[in-house]
Amino acid sequence: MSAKVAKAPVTQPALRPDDSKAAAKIDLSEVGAVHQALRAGRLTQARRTTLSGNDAIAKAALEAGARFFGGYPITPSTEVLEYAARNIFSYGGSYLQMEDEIASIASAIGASLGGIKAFTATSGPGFSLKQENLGYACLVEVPLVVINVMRGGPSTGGPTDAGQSDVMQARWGTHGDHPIVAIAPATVQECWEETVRAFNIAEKYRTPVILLPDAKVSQMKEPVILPALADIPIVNRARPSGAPEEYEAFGPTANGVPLLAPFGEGYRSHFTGLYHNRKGLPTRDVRLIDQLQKRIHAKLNTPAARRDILKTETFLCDDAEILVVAYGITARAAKDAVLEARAVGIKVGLLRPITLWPSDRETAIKYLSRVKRVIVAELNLGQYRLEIERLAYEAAQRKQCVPTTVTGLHRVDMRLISPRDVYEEICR
Amino acid sequence: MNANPICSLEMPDLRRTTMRRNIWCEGCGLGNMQQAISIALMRQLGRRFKVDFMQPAGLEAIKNNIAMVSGIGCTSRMAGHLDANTVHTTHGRSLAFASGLKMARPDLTVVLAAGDGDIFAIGGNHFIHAARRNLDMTLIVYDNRSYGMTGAQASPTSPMGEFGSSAPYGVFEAPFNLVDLAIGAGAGFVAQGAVTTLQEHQDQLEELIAAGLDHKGFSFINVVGTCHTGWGARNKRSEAFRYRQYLQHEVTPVERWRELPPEERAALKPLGIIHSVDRPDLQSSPAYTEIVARGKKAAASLEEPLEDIRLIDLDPMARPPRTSLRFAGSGGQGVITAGEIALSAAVLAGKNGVFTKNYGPEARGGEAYSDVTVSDGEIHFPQSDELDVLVALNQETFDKFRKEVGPSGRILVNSSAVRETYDDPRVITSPIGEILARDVRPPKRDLGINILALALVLDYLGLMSRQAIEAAVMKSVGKKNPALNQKALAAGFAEAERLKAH
Ligand code: SF4
Repeated sequence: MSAKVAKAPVTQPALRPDDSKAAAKIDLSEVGAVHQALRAGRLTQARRTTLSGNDAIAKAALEAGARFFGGYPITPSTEVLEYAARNIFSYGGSYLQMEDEIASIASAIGASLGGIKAFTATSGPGFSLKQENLGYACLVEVPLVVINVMRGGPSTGGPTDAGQSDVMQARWGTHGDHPIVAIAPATVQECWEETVRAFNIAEKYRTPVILLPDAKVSQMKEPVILPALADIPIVNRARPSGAPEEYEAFGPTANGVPLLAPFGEGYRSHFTGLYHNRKGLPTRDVRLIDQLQKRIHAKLNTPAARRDILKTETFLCDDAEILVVAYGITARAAKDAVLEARAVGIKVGLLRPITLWPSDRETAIKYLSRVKRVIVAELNLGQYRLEIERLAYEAAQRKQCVPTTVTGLHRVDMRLISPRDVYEEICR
Repeated sequence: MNANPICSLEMPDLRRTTMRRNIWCEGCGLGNMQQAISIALMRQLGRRFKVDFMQPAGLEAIKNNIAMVSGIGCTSRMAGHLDANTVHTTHGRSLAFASGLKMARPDLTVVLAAGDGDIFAIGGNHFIHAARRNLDMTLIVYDNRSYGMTGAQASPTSPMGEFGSSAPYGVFEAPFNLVDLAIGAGAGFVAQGAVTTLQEHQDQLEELIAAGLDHKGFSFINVVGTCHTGWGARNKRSEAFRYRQYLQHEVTPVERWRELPPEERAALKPLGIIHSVDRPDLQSSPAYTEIVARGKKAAASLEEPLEDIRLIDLDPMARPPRTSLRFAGSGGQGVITAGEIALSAAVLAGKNGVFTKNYGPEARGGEAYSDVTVSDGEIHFPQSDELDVLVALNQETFDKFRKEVGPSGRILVNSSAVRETYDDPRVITSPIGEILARDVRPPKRDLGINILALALVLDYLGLMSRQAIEAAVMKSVGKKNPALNQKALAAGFAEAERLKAH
């Protein structure tokens, strides 16, 4: 039967189309993408302003095309809600301050399934509350960006002080085997760039992406250089164009990412948190369940996906004998310490994972297998250290040698790890 | 069925043909409820879009416009049965998912099917807020007074004294009065139907759902239902037909119910439209429209002007000198703003900078401070082990932060408020409070003290040009009160001159 039928009125917000011209100018997989584009002359004009990390995140979300924000106030991420409330109407979008953290992520998932880009923001305790629905978004493959500004924990902990203690919650907070992308920006400029990248990954791979700034980065203000709106590389989810009756919301595609139709256009489908078949309907077929579970992992692990998702800054790593691994605000302290140590002749480098999950295994292994000692510095008691230890072991297995010693520099007393702390650890 | 238009006497329905079977027990009232929802949707949407649901094209248009959202439980499986845009979400959260969906897509008809445990226990918070928020959506609850799918546990609507698997000796908590709850929470349309054995009740249910769909705003239709295999089996009502016959004795038309004395009312459930107020739903309310317009106007231009930008390659090994400043004072003295302006002045002067504030209770009264680090090159870690400059507007912050200033650092002290400086050799005193009162004469005490101190310290240290400082002030607080801030700037610069001459 023909699919062309009289349609009920549709008022879908227009999405700016994907723009290959913008993508050619700015490559978000580069560290310091906007600055690199300006240095290379691919970009000659840009906007200068001064922003806080939270404002940069919210602004980037709107400039990347987000048109719905579901939020709930929580220190230190509230400014994201406030920024969205102030500005989202101007972009033709809307927001709701929901009744709780669970509802705020739920509303964002609902909006995204409706066909628009949506996001939510929170901090540790609220992130815990969002976990069930985060798992829903993983299995139902909903494009979504969740901002989690890290403070101290567990429990209420230190609401106003920076922590990096949600690294494992970001990875394993929701139940079940699930893939996840988590990104930790270190500067305000990066808050903007990585938020745009987070939306692009979410859309391209139909997956939730967690942006994981620490409270220090989200609260500080720095000058930023932003490209013109027309120069922002934007990716939108792939939509079906074939016959609606053949549409499979969880069907096979070349890159493992199924097409996602907005509601209302004839591509009627079912979305359920139960294991489902290609049409989205509940299934108990073990073969289909196995395929589904493995595909949602595999889609983030193709060479193209790894290029889009993984991102690591390596600073003075090539001849390093000691490697400091740090991310977010701690990486900034580590950079000062590395420079200070280099000034007195110590061969030390900094490996800064910008994408924490999935971990940039090959880059880490390359350096882990070369150095004599590794220091993981983070504002927790050794969460990412576990991953680095695992990778050091894998690096050693490949080379058939003893794993490099991995030590930790950890702090959970609400104070930051300072350059001096890292320097002393390097000199130890 | 609907694929066969020739058989025009056959009523089409919304069943999803690809969904082979449902999981419901034979005889469960959920089938009746699904049928009522199906028919009401076809009828009402057909009318709304002026299409014929008996024709395939018309039915297609109707199906495309429906978004059914559900949570977890027997009832919530209904979403899978309907050939529409359907979302089977997490336990209790369907209303929250639906709220985001409706905000994103006001054009869709959003319908929810849910159970009493799902909506009133785990999802209770979302229910009251959905009622209050009044988005245009229709919630139909199958109230079987128990958790059916998990095996007859008690729910927030289980009658006291009845038995469930989690109430083996009887339910000892009072149930919700759903009608009162919904009205109290602000629902604009509240109705109750029942799945008994009577056709009139089935017809009424259809009418109630249709009226709910027509109502603009949040509508709630409670369906008095059964669960013969679970709750019924534990309460001597395990036979589906008998259980539903028994329901007939529990319900009465709302018109009759209203006439009854209170003690008789409590034992009966009113059927019909119990509450209906005509008012616009959230998205079509004049208040919302006006607020959106206000928001659009206030944030009209969000794209900053473009500039030609040339970046030079920086030496990654460079460790350029930096200056760290702290502005400190009492909560109302604007020291956070001073730090922000100092950052913007640094940027206007072509420098790099980082601003950090202390955040939280201390910033809301009591002591407050903000830090700014300024440099000609990159700034990695935004804090310094030692402060280079402290501006202390009161004694408390002077005492508290003096120790954090390096041996060669400087402390600008407001001598109008700081009486004791412990002969600290790093101290530079200036009667900032008195200068403010004398030269700026603010209408409110301390208004402008931050700007005066900022102009004074930045100019005195020669950290950036006066033009940059002035431009930063005028871009910020100066917009609101140019005259006062100009005076504060001038007073600050004059005092800097005096101190420099010293
Ligand atoms: S368990 Fe109860 S509510 Fe669920 S389908 Fe069976 S009879 Fe109906």
